[in-house]
Amino acid sequence: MKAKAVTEPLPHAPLGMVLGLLDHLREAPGGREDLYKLGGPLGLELDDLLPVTEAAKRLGLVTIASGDIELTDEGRALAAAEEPARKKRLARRLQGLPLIAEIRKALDGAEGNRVSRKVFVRRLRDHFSPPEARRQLQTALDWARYGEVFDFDPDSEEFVLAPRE
Amino acid sequence: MAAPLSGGDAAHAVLVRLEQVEHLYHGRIRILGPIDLEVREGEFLALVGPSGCGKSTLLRIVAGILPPSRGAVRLGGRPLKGANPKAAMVFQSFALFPWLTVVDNVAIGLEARGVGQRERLKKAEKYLALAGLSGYERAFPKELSRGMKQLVGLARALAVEPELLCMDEPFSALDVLTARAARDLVLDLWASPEVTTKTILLVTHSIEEAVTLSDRVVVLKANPGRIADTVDLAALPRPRRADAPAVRETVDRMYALLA
Repeated sequence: MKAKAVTEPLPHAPLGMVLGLLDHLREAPGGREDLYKLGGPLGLELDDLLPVTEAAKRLGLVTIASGDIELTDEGRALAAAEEPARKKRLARRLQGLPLIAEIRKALDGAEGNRVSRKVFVRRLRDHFSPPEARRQLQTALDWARYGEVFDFDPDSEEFVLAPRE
Repeated sequence: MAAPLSGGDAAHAVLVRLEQVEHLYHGRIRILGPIDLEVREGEFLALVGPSGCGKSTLLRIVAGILPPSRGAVRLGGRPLKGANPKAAMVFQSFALFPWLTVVDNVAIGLEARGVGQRERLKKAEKYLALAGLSGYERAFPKELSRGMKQLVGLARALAVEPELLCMDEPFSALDVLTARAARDLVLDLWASPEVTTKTILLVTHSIEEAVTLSDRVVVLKANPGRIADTVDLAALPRPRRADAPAVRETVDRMYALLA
């Protein structure tokens, strides 16, 4: 159920690294690479690499099986796309993540399309420590901004719908 | 693969020309030069070399941030005085104002050039979008990853629509994956009809980076900084994979120049 899915924590990976991973895999034969090759040879520590591969997996852009990482069709299309098409594609994937989808839904239904950050901090505190709840929201915001799914107003400390053009 | 450069290329006008440029420390110790260098319209030129070879100093002289101790800098045939009006700079350290939002950090470069407020915002939003950063306009730099910060720096430099984009080790503070995405983006923007800036001068200590990105590479040696060779890569097909045999061979050749 949805309430349970939100408890699956978002990996704290910058989307820039996820996009770099897709670019890298796109050049690999068959869009596939041994996972270990992303570590040593590329100079990435596991602690830095694993959140990135996990993020790509959760977004449905790669599959990971028996030590191989491989682009999905969507991952391949996204890697080949240029801005702003890339952003639009990623926006759809982002809205498939429970926490981002839940915030977006709350904003769509709220008066003025604004909801205080505190509401979501309280919501997440049932499942995470207070610092991790804040980090979860920060990562969700960072990703959501990339896809223009929602934004944050620092003056009022409210999540807001991204302004439409 | 790539043949050594044979003199000037008449097909490309010279944007900036350095003639017998030297940089002296305390007015007497020569740390750079004498250097003759052309930056040609429409090219992606890299300056590569070990630390202490003066490549960043050379970039600052081209950008007009630093006057040369000796020699001349010419912009379209005229002597350059002060900051180069045709150039904009991207710094390794991002150089963003922490108290300004992303969009204001981009717009401030336009304000310095006397652009009106409405136009500033329009341009800032356009170049943020091209850099893949629309959605982050109201974020503050501390909320961004290092990679995103550097893209803001890139958007700020491109927003003034300079003829020449100067980049000083723009990817060296980034992890490999982020740097990878940022390099691809720079090449996309360089090729994009939306971007008027068509000449890029990149300083890097990475030979691989210079070879995968540039049309021409100037290889510098240290103590004092001087040009070891200039290598023309126009014939090397793009896109260039770092592990392609032709790329590897060119990289090896450049290491040999420095050794």
